[in-house]
Amino acid sequence: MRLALLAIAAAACAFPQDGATGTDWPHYGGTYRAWRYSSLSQIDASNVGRLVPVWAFQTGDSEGGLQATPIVMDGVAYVSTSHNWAYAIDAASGKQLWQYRYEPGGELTTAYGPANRGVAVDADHVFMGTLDNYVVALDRKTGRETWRVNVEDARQCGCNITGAPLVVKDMVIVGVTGGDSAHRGYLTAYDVNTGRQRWRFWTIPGPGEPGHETWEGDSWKYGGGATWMTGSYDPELNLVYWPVGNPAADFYGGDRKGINLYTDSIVALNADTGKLVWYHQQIEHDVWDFDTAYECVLLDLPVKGRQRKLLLNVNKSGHTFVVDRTDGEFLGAWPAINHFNWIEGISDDGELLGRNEPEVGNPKTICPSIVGGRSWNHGAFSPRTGWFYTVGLEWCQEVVAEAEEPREGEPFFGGSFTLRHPPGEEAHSHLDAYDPVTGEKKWSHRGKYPLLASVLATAGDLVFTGDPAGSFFALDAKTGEKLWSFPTGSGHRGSAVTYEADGRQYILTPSGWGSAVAGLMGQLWPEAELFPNGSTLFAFALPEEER
Amino acid sequence: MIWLLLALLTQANLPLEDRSPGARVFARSCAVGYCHGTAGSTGRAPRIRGRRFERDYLLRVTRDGIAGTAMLSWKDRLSETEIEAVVDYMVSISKPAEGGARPATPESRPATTQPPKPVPLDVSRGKVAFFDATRGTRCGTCHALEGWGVPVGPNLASAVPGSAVEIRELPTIGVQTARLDDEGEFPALVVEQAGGWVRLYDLSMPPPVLRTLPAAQVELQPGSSWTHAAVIPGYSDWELTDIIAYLRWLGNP
Repeated sequence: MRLALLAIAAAACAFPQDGATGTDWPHYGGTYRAWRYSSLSQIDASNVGRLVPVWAFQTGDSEGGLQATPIVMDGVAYVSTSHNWAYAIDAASGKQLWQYRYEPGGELTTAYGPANRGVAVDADHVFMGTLDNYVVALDRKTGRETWRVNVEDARQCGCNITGAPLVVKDMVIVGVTGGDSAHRGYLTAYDVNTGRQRWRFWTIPGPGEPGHETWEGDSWKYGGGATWMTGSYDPELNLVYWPVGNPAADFYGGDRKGINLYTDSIVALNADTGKLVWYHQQIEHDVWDFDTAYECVLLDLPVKGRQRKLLLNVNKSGHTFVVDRTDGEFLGAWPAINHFNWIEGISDDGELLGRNEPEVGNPKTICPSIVGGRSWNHGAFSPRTGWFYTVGLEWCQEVVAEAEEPREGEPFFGGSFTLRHPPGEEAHSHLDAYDPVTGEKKWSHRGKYPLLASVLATAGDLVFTGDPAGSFFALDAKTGEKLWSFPTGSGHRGSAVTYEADGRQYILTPSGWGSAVAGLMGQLWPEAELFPNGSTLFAFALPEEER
Repeated sequence: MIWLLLALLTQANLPLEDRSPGARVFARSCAVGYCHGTAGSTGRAPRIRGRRFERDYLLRVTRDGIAGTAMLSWKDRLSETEIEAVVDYMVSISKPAEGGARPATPESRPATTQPPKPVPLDVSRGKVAFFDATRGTRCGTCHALEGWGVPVGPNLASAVPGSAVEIRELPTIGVQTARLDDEGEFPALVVEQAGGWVRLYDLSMPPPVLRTLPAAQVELQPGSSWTHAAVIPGYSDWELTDIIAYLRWLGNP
């Protein structure tokens, strides 16, 4: 108990009302608040034009690209690759310190393709989720495996882990893939030292639990509710926030009548017990595969003149939801895209208006496409501009639903889709700056292809991201003007970070094309089929003489 | 008769109708979501439409999958008829290979396999109970059979208990007590001791954790307080009896 109190006290001191990182990049989203924002400003809008590459590190695991967010602590960068290799790299020189290659326990069920969005690091360990649904802990100094635990048999569930774990106190928390297969999702916490299970939260309530009645018949057993991407944590409220994905089957809801809790919801769990404290469901009875899966950005901002503790989350549909993170009260929603017809809008109470659902046997054009009005690549918040920077994807699909029986662990889609350009123009994307509460757009930067890398924001008033053709670039955070770019040779599908080593600020980006969405792009842009894979980290800084 | 018609149609190299049996299998199992695209267009997985393939290659990959990749093996997931149909469909939408990749004629199809023997009710109930995902911890958490489950404990197909009571009171051969200075004692199943390291399963609670510890830090004593009964509290005697029927059937189908 005393240890827990000390840990809470330490956490409160280490995490003031501030989501900025400093010399390190300790968590997936930067800090627990998922701002993806750094207070470092050695590189700024006036000098970024002179940024140069300092080192490159090739992982050698290029199938699936490099989709990770590197973690940087105490001058060491830690990164995981698509097939669960892990590296520790000297952050100043790019020299390898150690390498680890995970050996799967059994047959791989890479149902969603090889990918890993990153590791988590604590004082002694590096944690990684695997393609066969294990969590491994490695000795932070040597890379030697210290424990591994099977979350659930991957062959049976057709599920695994591609998201980065989150360390909270002395627990490591991992999600699970799913939603497109017949499987019931969960979130699990393990002891960082021993790997013993501390708690599990089922995202679909079981018999006797509140919310179980929102599922028809036995549909709860195979109902999806995956916990794809990394959640956030508020140490003062002691709440772990996690996004829960779509119900299965994606397009066909005929056998799961009901609002299907807690799919397409943000859940807030007591960090110590994993028990539900509150939830906010964004989409009732989803039939579009519009997961609640992306970053939970914790902001303290005024709403209607009163300071509130907020949680902002971009739904896969491209609509952005803002709730009170103390109790889940809905405060507003705004679209980050122009082309949408799956709904007409969202009411002041958070209700979806004008639902336009896929139909069995009858093809329809629905926007945005199933690949999203935004993909999982994360946005960033800058406290200097007060703006939230996020990508929006403009594309549609022809979709037809089909009745389907669940087969445990097998694909359970309930229909099929083909990508289409939106009405009147070519599919494209844009990176925009928004007021996070009102959704008022401040500026927009257009991309030819879907932008599928995360955004990094810094106190140098810069915003960084990369595109599918391999260009890694910086925009002025205040105006959106492009200030610098570098051709890395392979498309971007991961997340850049920034850190300081030996008094020098580095911008570190993964480069390396891959992923399910990347593969699907060929339906609209045939040349995209030939985009090269890769898996390389590029580190940039100002030239030595400039610092 | 329908196969002959389809064979004739496809020998004319016309793509099969969207509602053909093979197209339906493809739509449901192959084109889904993030794998091969609708009607074989681009998806995360390679495009099939308009590319060159030998029929035998398509058949082999569909049946056996490609090890270590996301391409599953379908021989246990689809019937032989469904596999032949989906391969015919893929042939019809792909370019013909040199010499023409023709769909199989009725004569060249494999002889119809015998329908599987009906499975007794207690056996199928037992299998369901063994792998029941709704329980969280179930037999499959520590035992593997028929390609499902995690092989921590012994292979049960070759060591079938005689009764529910016997399952609860299993002698826990091989479970020792491990002691670490900063942790105290816990039940452990040692896997390997080599090169100054000990690999063991920590059985404090399910799921078992495979831990790698420096041998110098671990003290091992034979015997432990661990019981099999303690990890299967959710299983009734009826369910355990069904599970025994399932295990016996596996050894003697």
